[in-house]
Amino acid sequence: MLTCSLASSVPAPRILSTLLLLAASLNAQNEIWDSPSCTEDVVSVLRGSPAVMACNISNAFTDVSIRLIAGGQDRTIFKEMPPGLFSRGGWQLQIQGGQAQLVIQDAQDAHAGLYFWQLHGRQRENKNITLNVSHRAQ
Amino acid sequence: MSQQALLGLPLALVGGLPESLSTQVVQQSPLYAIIPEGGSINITCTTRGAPLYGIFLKQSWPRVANVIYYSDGKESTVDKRFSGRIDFLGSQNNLTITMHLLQLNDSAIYSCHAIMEKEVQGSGTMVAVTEKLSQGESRPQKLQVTLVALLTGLPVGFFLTGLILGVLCTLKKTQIKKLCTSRDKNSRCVVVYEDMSYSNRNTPCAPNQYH
Repeated sequence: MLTCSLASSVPAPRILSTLLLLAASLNAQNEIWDSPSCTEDVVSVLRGSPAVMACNISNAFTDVSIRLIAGGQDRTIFKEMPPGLFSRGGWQLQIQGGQAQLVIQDAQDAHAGLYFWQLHGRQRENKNITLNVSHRAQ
Repeated sequence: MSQQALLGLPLALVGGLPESLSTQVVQQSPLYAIIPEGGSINITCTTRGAPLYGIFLKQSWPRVANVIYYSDGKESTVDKRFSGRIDFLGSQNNLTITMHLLQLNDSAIYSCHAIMEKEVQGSGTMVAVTEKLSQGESRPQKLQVTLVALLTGLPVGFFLTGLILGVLCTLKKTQIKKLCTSRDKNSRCVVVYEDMSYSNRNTPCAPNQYH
């Protein structure tokens, strides 16, 4: 005589409730907009001076990516998850909560161009900031 | 190389090319809708191109405002004005947004905005929410009756106007004719000419009794 016993490691009601919770979370809706606010569309600085660009949102950042488009080239300089302070080639990106700040201590011609920010909090939005680096008048 | 191969080469090249920014398109439907108060509307946003990060539905008129944000597998955002009145169907590439229990102040232009490498906007949907009519009266029926009345009434009106004008002209013509006739009769009056010439001197005169 063969006996079969079905012994599940996880009880069925628990699986069902987990599935229901998962479904609910996927269909969940929130009402809070990131409403990104960035520094002005164009930032102009003298060569050798510091340049600061910043974007803030109402919610906490999930991630931030910044691309620089200049001289026919399009390259990603940062793609980071907060919180943290990230440095690369003269650029410094700090992300804390809903604030992201990009600082160039010593602005040079190579830093000039269109900065394409992709801000991800509860939504994803794109913002552009142009950095002009001009030479000091002699 | 055969002719067929030559013809197929450009197609193969196109098929093999990576998707460029120029192929990023958002198709939106319908273009417009007239919905009675309390009704619903389905707005569909279909996006071609990759990568696609998420979809906004935004009001662009009378004021700029976010309505929803949807991204596959993520918590969506619905503006508090539409809380409990929004349903989603499909995925972010082919998303149908249903807005329920429409109110008069929901009348607006709604646009799909696809968040890709850049933001791409759809053509927009103009939504007009109309007042709820009283029981027993339906706007389409009322409109139909008005149209039928216009279509039948206009030709009848034109016909009657023509008829009246024709009668008036005929009467006027008769009057004019009579007037002309009466003038002709008057022109046949007998004219008496008195002969004042000396040709009748031989005619004896009566003697003068008083000489």
